[in-house]
This record gives sequence, structure tokens and C-alpha cells, in this order.
Amino acid sequence: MNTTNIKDFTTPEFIDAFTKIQKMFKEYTTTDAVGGKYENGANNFLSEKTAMIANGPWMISDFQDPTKAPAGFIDKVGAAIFPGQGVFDAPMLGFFIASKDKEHADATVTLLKYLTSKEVQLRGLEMVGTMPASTNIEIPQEVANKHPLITELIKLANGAKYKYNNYQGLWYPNTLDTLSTNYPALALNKMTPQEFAKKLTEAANKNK
Amino acid sequence: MRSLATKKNYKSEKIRGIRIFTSSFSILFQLIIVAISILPIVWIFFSSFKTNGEILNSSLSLPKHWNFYGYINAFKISPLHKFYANSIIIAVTSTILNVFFVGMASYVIARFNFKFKKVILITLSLSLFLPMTSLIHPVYMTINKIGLYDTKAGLILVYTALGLPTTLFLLNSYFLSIPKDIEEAAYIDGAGFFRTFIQIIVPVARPGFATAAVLQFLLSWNEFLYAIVLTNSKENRTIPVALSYFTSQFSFNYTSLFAAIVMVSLPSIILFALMQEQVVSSLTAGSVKG
Amino acid sequence: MNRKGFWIALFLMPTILIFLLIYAVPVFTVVFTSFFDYRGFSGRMTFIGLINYIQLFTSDSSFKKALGNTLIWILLQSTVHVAIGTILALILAKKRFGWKFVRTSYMIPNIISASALGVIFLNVFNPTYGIVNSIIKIFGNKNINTNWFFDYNTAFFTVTITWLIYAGLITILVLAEIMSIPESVFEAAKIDGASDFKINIYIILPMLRNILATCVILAATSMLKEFELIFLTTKGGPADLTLNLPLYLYKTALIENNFGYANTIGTVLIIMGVITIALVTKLFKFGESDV
Repeated sequence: MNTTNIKDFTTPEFIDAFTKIQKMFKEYTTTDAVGGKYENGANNFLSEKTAMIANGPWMISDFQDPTKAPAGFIDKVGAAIFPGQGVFDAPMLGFFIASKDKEHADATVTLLKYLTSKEVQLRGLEMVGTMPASTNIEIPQEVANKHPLITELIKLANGAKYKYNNYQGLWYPNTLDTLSTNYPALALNKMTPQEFAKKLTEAANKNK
Repeated sequence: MRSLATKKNYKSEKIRGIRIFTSSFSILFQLIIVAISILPIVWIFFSSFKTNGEILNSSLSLPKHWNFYGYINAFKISPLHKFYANSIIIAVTSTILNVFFVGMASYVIARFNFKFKKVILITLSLSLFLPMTSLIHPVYMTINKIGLYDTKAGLILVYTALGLPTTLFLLNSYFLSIPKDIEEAAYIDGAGFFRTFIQIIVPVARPGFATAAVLQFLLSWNEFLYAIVLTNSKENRTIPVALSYFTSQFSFNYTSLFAAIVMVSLPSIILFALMQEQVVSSLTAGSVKG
Repeated sequence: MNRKGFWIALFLMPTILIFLLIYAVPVFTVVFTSFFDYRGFSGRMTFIGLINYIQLFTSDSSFKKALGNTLIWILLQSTVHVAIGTILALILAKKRFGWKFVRTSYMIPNIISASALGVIFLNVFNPTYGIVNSIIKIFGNKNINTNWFFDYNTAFFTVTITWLIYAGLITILVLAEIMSIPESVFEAAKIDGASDFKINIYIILPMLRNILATCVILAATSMLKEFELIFLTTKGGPADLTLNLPLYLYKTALIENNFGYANTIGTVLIIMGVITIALVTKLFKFGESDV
């Protein structure tokens, strides 16, 4: 799955994934999920129209935001990792150093080291709920008490067997477009997972 | 005699029946037209004052409180003020350039005889019927090559061109409707070509220019396709592109999205409401001449 | 060249330059590059003759769907759309109470940005909180949850609605033309005892031939340009159900970076534009005077 510019979507892994997606569309979600964007998913969850949402810790602050969720919403939410012991790994920002002289480059490195230091990672967690990138950060009890959900999630994530990366970034851009325009067909059973895979393969092979 | 009278009676009854039918049809038709035209935007307007919860759970009710949270938040989510400024700069500049340049061309085409006049007019007219979406790639390449990709100047140039055919038709027919002796008198007085155009022709043709300017402004203000193709930074993007900021992960709330829609649409609606008599009457002048 | 000739040339210059840069050269480029295999940002071009056209018309199912949809929409727009606008113009021409309000209201969807309109419709037809389903819930089916834009059975219809019923521009053009008909024509007809309906059909409509031709051309060619309302709602989906040629061209050029092929679609669009205008002009005997 970690190949760049995938051209064959008819492998058993993909077919299995499309079958699961179809099942989720058909049985486990709202009617506006097809063609919906993040706003639809988030709002359905926040207004308790759906019971689960696949998302990361950055959403936790929204649970307490009175303009987005009803009061007391956060107390009803618990966290879990994906079935099969996996978590989705959303990478942090990456940096390039483009300074021309050594002095600036060194200063930039120092700044970056600070930005990725344990203190800053903890601060990020405390203030905006950013998940620490390092797995061996000890979380003080008071922060843990303040953000029980995140702490729970960190514990679960550290114990996960698999980490999924954002592998769609490796796809040809037009296959992503084909994916989203054909989801309704898959969701409404107008297309089998096999046909869906064939459609994506066709699109990928338009690239030379 | 008698049978004739009943027949006449029957006929007038039938006419009355038809009249009642046509007038109730016309009222119903107008009601439907008004409903489909303003209900969506009125609904968006009211919803822009509601909370997410209210929108989701009681979408037809009026807002409980009139708060401007959505409007304030919209400015935080997207660089709306930047986009407003860009849109104003781009729309105003392209309107001035378009109306001035195309005005000059329409004037000489309407007034003078010269070689290739017909060929020039027909060639320029073709642009009215050219599907501009078919040209996105070459226009992108051209703008890129002359170093105007992701600049306001690039959009200004393209928008000035997009409105070329409409302005040409409007002003051409307007100049044709102005009596010729006005400027002949000016020439006799010894005024130069350019001065006559600026001091005599432009003021007389002001209504035509105004209409062309309104249409050109709306075109530049509303344009979306070339705005996304020819720019990529918020420094140079325009108001219609702003709405795409409201569907991402960090800014998904409906209230702000609806507030942004209102703020994007309102300038066009106000401009049209203020200038509509002008626009409508000039369109008539243009269409009567064919 | 005399002095006047110099000024004429100078006055024409800016417009001609803009025309060359943004219209003429691009049109030439579109047609020229359609005979090449030309993709990516390397800019390398290989002459392949008619291969792009052959592929387009024989083996490209997305193109077939896009072409079919575009043709259906041209047909609907030049008939139903123009008819709705004209009927309203005939009604408003009586200048009954509130006619200006109706006219202004009807123009609103035509003057706001198509991008705003797209987002508005996306919300109007949202299955859970959209105004359409909310109204249907009040007046009948309480369990309606149709996902208008993304359901196989409704997507095409819903996309079509977003432009088909908004004929404000047609109404304004036709209305202006009716109002320029001399009052004496109506009076003569009324003295002869003709009903309103008959006056509309037998007297006004024939006099509107030229403006109706203009309207049909505008309506038909607008469907060769339509982009925003599809791009911001269905993006051409589900599958290719609502794909049209401009959107397919956009995807081919900007998502697949297949410029030669995209410009082949562009050439087809330009040719369709020429054919449409020629056809309408012939059909309405456009430009010939009434005798």
C-alpha cells in the first residue's frame, strides 16, 4: 500500500477496504454522508445524530465550544482506536531550512529544536490539545486531569500495533477525484467494490 | 333569435372562465417565481444568525437570538477583509480599463469608415460566443509566460478581456444612437480627436458607459473559474474563492459559512438594486437596435 | 496614413491587443495542441495527428457522458428556460401590482456570484437540514431524507434545476422588447375583440422573433460555459452522471495535467459553439426584417 502513484486498485486489500466502506455507507451513517464534507460529519456528531466519528484529538476542543456543541457534550465522549489495533498517524508540519549563511541556519536549528522539545509538545497538548509527537513524554497528572480524553487517547495510541499513514498523498490526484465522484455509486449499491476498484485503476492508468 | 342570444351568453361566460383561469395562473406563476428566487437567500440570511444546533434541528424557524457571531467568526476563519480589498481593486481597475479601451474601439467602429472595419468588428464579435472555459489552459500558459501568474494584474487583464464582447455590443449600439452633428460641431471648432472623445462623446454616452460598467463590475466581482486557475495565494484571491475556506476541518460551522455567503452576495445585490433601471433601459436600447 | 487614420488605429489598438492575447492566440493554441501528446509540466510535445480525437470519440466513456449531458442541457436551456422567462415577461408586461418587485427578485440568482449560488444550493438541498426537505416534511412525507445532489435518481434533476428555472435575464430582455412595441398595436387588437391570450400568441410572440433568437443563443451557449454550479455541488458525480464538457476539460487539464487531450475537448466545445449559433440563426431567420 505504501507505493507511490498506485496504478492497480484491484488487489485483495483494496477490494476488502472498498467492501468495508460500502458497508459503512449503507448501514452506519447519515444520509448526507454521501457527498458530505467534514462540516456534515462533524455537525452530525456534535448534534448527536451519529454515535461515532473517526477523528483526532484536535476535535476535542470543539466538544467544549458552546457555539459548536451543546453543554455537557464532552462528558459523553470516549475515545478508542480503530478495530484491529490501528491508529491513523497524522504528521505534524515539516520544515525546510533555507538560510544561506551558517549563522542563520544554526539559529533556525535551535528554534526548531525548541519547537519540538518536550516542553513545547506538552504546552501544545495543554493549550490546544495537540497530540505529542514523541511517545516517551511523561504527562503530568494535572494536564491529564484537565484533558482526560487526550490522555486516554495517547495511552491507547502508544499501545497500537499498526500506524496508518496518509497514503492517499501518494495517489495520482485524478484517482482521488474519481474516488469522490464514484463514492455515491458505491454507497447506493450501484457499483460493486470490484467495479469501483476497476474504475480507479482506469483513472490511474490515464497518467503516463 | 333566442338561440343566438344563448350562444352569445355562453360565449361571454366562456371568455370569463378563461380570464379567471389566466389571471389565477399568472398570480400563481409569479408567486412561484418569487419564492424560488428569494427563499433560498432569505433562508441563508436568517440561518446566518442561528447556532449550528438550531440550523440542524429546526432549519425553518427564525433565529432565537440575533447575534453576529457568525459574521465576526467568518473574518477570523478566512482572510475575508483581504479578499474584499482584492476584489475591489481588481473589479474597479478592470472595469475602468474595459470600459475605457473598449469604449474607444466601439466609438471608432460606430463612427468612422476604414479598411478592414467589417473584418475587425466580426472578429471581435466572435468572442461573445466563445466558451471561455475551453481556453483555461492556454490562458493560464499566457499569463504564466508574461509573469502575471498569481498577481492581481493577471486577473485584471483577463477580466478586462472577458467583458470585451458585452461592452463592445452595448457601446457600439449606443454610439450609433447618438446624432452625428454633435461631434461634427466640435471638429469644426478645431477640437482634436482625443479631446472630442473625452469631452463630447463620453459625457453624452454616459448612460451607455454606466451600464457597461455595472455589467463589467458584476462580471469581475463574481468570476470564479479564472480566479482559482490563475491565482494560488490569499494575497491575490478574490471574494468568490473565500467560500472554500469554510468547509475545511478547522472551520466547519454553518453559521459562519452562511454569514460568508451573505457577505459575498450582498455587494452584487445592492449594486444591481441601485442601478437596475439604468441597466434595464440600456439593455433595451441595445436590443432594439439588434 | 493621415492624421485621422492614426487616431483610429490608436483607438483600436488596446482592444485588439487584448483580443489577440486572451482570445485569438489561446484559440489557436487550443486547436494546434489538440494534435499533440502534451502533458505534465515538462512541456514536451509529440505530434500524434488525430489520435486524441479518435480516442475521444471511440473509447472515452466519460467524454460520451459529458457530451450527452451538455447536449441535453443545451436543449433544455434553449426551450424550457427561454419559455419560463418569456411567459413571465408576458405576464409582467401587463404591469399589474408588484411587477417590478417580481422582476427584481427574479434577477437576484442571476447577479450573485455563481460560486455563492453553488454553495447556497448545496445547503438548500442538504438532506438533513436543507430547506427543500424541511418544507416537504411539513407538507407531506415526514420521513423524506433524499440526498438530492448525490442520489443516483435525483442528481441530474437537481443540478439542472439550479439554472433551468432561473431565467431572469431572459425575462428582462423579452420584457424590454415587449415594452418597445407601440401601444396602437394592442389597441387595434382589442377593438377587434381578441383576448389577452390571443394577443400574446398571435401578435406579440411573432414580433419577438429576433429577441427570442438572441435569448436562445445566450441560453444555449451558456451551457457550453457552465462550470461553477456543477464544480461546487456534485463535481460531476455520482460516477459521471452530471459531468459536462467544461468540467471534464477542467479535470483533464488541471487534475490530470493532460493538456493536449484537454485542448481536444476545448476544440470540440468551440466547434459546438459555432454550430449552435449557426443553427439558431437559421431556425429563427435571425436578423432578417419582418415583412
